[in-house]
Amino acid sequence: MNEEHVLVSQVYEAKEDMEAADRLIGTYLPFIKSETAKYLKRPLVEENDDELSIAMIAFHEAIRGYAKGRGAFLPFASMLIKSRLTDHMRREKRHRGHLSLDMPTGEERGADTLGMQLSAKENEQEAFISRDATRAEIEELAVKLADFGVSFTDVAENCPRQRRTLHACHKVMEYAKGNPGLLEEFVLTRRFPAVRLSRECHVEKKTLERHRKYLVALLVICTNGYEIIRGHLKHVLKGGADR
Amino acid sequence: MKYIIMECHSSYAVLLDEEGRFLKAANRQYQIGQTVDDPILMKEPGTGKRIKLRAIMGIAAAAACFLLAFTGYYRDYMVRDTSICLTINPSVRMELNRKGQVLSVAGVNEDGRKLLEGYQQGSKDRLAVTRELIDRAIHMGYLSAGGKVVLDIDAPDEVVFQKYGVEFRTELTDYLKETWSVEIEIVRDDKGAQVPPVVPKEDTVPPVEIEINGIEPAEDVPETPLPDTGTEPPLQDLIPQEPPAHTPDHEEYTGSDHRESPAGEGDSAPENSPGRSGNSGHGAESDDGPDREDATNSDDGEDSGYDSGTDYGAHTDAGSSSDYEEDSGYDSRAGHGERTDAGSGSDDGEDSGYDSRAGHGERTEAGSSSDDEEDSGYDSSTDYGAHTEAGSGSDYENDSGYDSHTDD
Repeated sequence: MNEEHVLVSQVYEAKEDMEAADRLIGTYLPFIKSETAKYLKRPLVEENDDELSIAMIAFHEAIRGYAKGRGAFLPFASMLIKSRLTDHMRREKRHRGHLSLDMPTGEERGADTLGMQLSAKENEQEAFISRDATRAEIEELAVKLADFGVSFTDVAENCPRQRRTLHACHKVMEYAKGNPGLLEEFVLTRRFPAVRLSRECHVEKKTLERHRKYLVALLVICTNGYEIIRGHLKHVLKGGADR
Repeated sequence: MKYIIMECHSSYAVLLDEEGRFLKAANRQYQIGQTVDDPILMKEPGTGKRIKLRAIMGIAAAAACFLLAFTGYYRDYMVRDTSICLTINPSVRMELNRKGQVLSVAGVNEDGRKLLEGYQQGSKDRLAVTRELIDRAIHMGYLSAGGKVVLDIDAPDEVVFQKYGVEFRTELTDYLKETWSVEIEIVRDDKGAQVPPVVPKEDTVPPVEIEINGIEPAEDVPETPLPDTGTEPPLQDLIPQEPPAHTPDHEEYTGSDHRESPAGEGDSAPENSPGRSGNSGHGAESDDGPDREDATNSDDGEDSGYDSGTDYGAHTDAGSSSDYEEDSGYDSRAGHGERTDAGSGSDDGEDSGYDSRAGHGERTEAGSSSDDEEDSGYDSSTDYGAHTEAGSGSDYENDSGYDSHTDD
């Protein structure tokens, strides 16, 4: 009974703190593996199984979605893990036997065109270099965001869910990209210019404040030095927000 | 859509998609900077959605209940169901809901609008409103003694019309009888159906004349009193003081159609039967010719008594049945059905008395029945049903008395 109380308090702490969530998941990894193995009716061959990853993210969802009124946490997490694994199995079953040209073909048998496979082999080195560059850029961005007291997890938590809000944030990003002075001032002062952006972009200040961390990440990306990431967001920066 | 892995944790990874969204997904051994196509995205906790869905369902259920209740209420209390046009000279239309409450009152003509000027509807009760309007009409001089109040009811069905019609007639008759002698007419707006009359009591003074679409109840109502059965003379008064000495079959049929009435021809009705007019030989029917008459059916006696047949039921004079076989007596038949004088029914004798038959059914005198004697008495047959005298049957063929047939 006391253990259950401790677990619940840990879960409620993990709801707010992703690091705590990660720690809790690490603590309960044997439980997650056990549930996955029970579902698969076989022992996990290796820890690289997709099913284990899915079970862990399901456990994470259980942490975020748990409430005291829903009973004990572990049965709730177990139910959620099984549900997610079932979804995954159904999705895999649907795509079994169907090969898409858009699917990555690196590990697949030669169902795809040979040209694509050859192209992938030719670009393997190039891809490795690109991934390294991207990684360096992302790490630099993470450091920059840490100066603002923001992590990627925070940004993911603060990311708008509704498309309308997302478009409003993209409008802000567009305006900031067109105003280098504003970006410079932002980097120097590390103050988010919510009032000005609200006035200039005709977006509610409340909306900007609500998604402040996300907008900080976008504004930092708009500053110099993040070409790869901006290239990834080319649809947004070309005016995709207006669509 | 492509995703860049931005951050990796043991249980999840943060991805950036091409639309600029930062998402969490299952970490399938990803590395930072890796581009992936098919991540398993982390689902947002469903509590909010569930609460929202529950709230929406609750609101929807409440709205449905409210709508259901309001629809019933609206249909019962706010929708016009019946329209009653009260016409005196002013014509006023009342709109009633399904519960019979007055929704609105409006003047149809100029006088109606004048009648409603300053009128404050005190109640929703249809009868109260009608009484108020009639009172106003009286006070404003539109309605006086001998006037006529017409209630034109436009009801959705016959049952409602009958209900309202009877109710209005009863209430207004009671209401107006103490003050005015006013004629109340209730008609149906479209179909012309009528309301059964409420017959006022005899001691009602002044009487309220009731007319339903111009048909006087006294003419067609079967409850019309028959000729003074309550004031009929005592039986012994109708019997002659010196009855002819005869036995029930004291006279055998001789084939003669013409027989003498002991009371004389034509005017031999008993004098002690006041009110039996027509005993003075003014026979409405007179057969002087020979009548065919079966040997077994004859009124071949001398009847000097009272013979009143009021048929309200099946009445069969068959065989050798006889009513007051000593036909100097009183013969009263009351039935509501079919009367058949067939076979050897006999009212044999010379009828000099009163013979009144009133039947509401079918009266059939089949065969060769005949009352072919000289009746000097009163014979009144009032039949409300089919009256058939088939064959050569005849009643009072050679009556010298009063013979009145009223067949409906």
